[in-house]
Amino acid sequence: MAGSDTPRLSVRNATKTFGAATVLDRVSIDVQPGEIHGLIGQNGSGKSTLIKLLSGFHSSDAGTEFAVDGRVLALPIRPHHLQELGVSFVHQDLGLDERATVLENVRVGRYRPSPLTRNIDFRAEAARVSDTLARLGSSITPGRLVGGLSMTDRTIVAIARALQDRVAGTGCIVFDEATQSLPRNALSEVYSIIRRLAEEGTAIVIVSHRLDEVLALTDRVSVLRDGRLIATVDTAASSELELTGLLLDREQASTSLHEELPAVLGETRFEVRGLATASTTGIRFSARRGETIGIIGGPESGYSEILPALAGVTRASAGTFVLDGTEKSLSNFTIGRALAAGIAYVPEDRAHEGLALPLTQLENLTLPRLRARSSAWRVTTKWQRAEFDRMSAALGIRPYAPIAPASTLSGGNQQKLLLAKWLGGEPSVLLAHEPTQAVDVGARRDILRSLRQAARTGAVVVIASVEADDLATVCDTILVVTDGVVSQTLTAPFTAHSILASVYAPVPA
Amino acid sequence: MTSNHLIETQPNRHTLPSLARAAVQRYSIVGIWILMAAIFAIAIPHLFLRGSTMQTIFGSEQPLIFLAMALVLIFFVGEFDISLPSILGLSATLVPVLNVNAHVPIGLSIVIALLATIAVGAVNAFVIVIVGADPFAVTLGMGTLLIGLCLWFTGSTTAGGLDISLSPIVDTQVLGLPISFYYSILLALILTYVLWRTPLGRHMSFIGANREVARLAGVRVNQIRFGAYVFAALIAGVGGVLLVLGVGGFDPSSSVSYLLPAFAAAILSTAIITPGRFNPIGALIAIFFLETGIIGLQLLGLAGWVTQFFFGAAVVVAVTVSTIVRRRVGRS
Repeated sequence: MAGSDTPRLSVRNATKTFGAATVLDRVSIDVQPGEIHGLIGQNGSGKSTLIKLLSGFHSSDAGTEFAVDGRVLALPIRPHHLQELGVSFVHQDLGLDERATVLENVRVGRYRPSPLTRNIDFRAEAARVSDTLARLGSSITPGRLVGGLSMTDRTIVAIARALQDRVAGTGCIVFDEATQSLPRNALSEVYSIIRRLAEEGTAIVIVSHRLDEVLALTDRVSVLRDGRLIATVDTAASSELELTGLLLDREQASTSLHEELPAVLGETRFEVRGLATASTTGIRFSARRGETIGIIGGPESGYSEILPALAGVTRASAGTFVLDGTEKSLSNFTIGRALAAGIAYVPEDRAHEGLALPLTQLENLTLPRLRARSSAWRVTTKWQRAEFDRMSAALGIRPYAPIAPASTLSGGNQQKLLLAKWLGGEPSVLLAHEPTQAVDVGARRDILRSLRQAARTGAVVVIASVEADDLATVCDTILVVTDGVVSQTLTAPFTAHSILASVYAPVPA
Repeated sequence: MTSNHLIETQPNRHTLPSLARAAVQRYSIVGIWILMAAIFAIAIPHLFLRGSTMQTIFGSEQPLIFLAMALVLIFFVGEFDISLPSILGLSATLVPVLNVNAHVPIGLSIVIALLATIAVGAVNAFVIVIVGADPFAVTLGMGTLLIGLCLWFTGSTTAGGLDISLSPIVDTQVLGLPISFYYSILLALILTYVLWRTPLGRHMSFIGANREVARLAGVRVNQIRFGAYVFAALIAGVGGVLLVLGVGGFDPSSSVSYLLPAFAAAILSTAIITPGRFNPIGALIAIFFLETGIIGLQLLGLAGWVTQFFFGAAVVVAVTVSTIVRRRVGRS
């Protein structure tokens, strides 16, 4: 850390009330120059609100004070004032226009037109962008379309935009869940960029729900719960277990569910033979009644193509499956056939494929069974209510509000609703694609438990996920996909480390 | 008409303010309608409170109601069709042209006209759903094309002189209003039932809200979208047939005048009864609301310009209000 007593960013008594609800209650945090400071908390803990107060999206309540290098920010906070003081943000969605070039995305709002003709010298602008990107150790061409870039490069472009026009080592960059969409093996590159910025003296705030990320990257961590600052701890002296305890208000470690919910295995129920998709070939595996199977692999391995093909969502080029003794072809499989066979698919993208957010929770829950459970000419309602009550209790969907729009739920509860939507039909095979994506620790636990519970009632559960932790917690068998084929089959017990070791350093067959 | 009572969304907060807020969201247009009627009743009682005024407000809107219902159906599945007024014009033109100029019996003329509207709906659906073209561009073109076609059929004049033997189907008076009024109410009720009470309607609302979610749940998305274009065209076609049976003739270039009121009513429906969602009863109320305003203003002595001004203003206000309502509902 730089040798100055004045914090780069100082938050004093940050408070925000919406009506009668206090969502942020006198939170004070200091971030020193050169420090990487983590900010964690479950959904609803107030961490997003704090960032929105700092960025000026929400106005703060009286008594709140933000200071940068000792200079108190005038309230209400104005974006251009933040920019002058060197505070910038990299948000979760990165805020990039995919149809525009890297240059346009980086320079928008910062162009330096000629004073006389207002003409923009694009060659000079491109040079500025290249300089900034070079500082990040990247050589992306400024003229490229953002839509054609990898997620890693997009993140770098967003960081470049936050960083440009600034003397090295000054200012503060807030990463608001910005690494969320990055593939795991790309994280190290972004992490090293963040570390380099901090070494230059820039203060970094990382808002994240990935505890491993916070532990790997930060110097100190502030934990929010129910709108209050619970603790600020030195990362080096802390552990995932301790942080989880602080987040949850109880020492609930991320231990395996195998003891709590032992597998009830039966005969072989589901068998996939010779499945081939765009980048996989000859995928075969079998699952017993009650078995939970995990599928993991590197981002380019093709592991993520398996579940959509089994669900009829994408067309497989070859392959068959046997379910309860009946063999079906996968090369002309459709969603309708999959559903008829008792195969349910929980898609990865909650907001675009999983739930219709403007419609009510109840409507979302019962959609797949509407026709089967109602008469053709009338939607009957009693079973829907009963199902909602049963499923929301089973998964802990809160708050209980069946006819509020699904959009009113927090991310974790939306994910639970999505899972409930497909569990409600008591499928023979449940395919879950990244079921714990972007959910907080508590919801993650509820979701994993429900998956395991579904298996115990006789279903075959197949989970494709990059989260080795989750797979270790819940799976009986894990398939590791490398270069489009199943390179290893692991059986419990395993740990996140042993799984990742197989993914990234595959044992030659 | 639906089990979605927003006030139930927070069971522990059945407070008076929250009930009041829900009521305002659902019934503010109804309130404004009543208020407006009361003002006219006080200002010009001798003109406004006459049976003939009521007949004009409620009895003469049958084509507009059919169009608005067709639009609600289209909007409900997240689609767009600006050619519907021209489709209404097509059937209203074809019936007299076939019957009078080509001496086709009236019954057969009606059947041909309706088949033509179904065909137009199917062409729209094919280009939009199967080919994947932009619905705005496709239906704007189709709408203009149909007006041209109808003007060619009629020799650029009004098609008239229709056999009036069937006009009682439309203008028989029931309780002081022509029977066509009750047809349009029936249509609104049937559509409401289908959209809100049947599995098909629920599937349609998912297609409107998120097509991919519907597809992944096994809903035959494209089939239903195709069907919506065809059915909406048929509804507009029936509206056109009823219109021309009552009046006896039709000027093809006048179908454009239905465009804005129908859109205004369909859009306004998202601010009535079921905030944020298109609904037939809301559209029905919106039409009577708009018509009351226009008739009242005309009775007050304001000239013809007031019609377009009022419809236009209603659309601007309606989209503003419904956008705000939808945002509120989204957050609530």
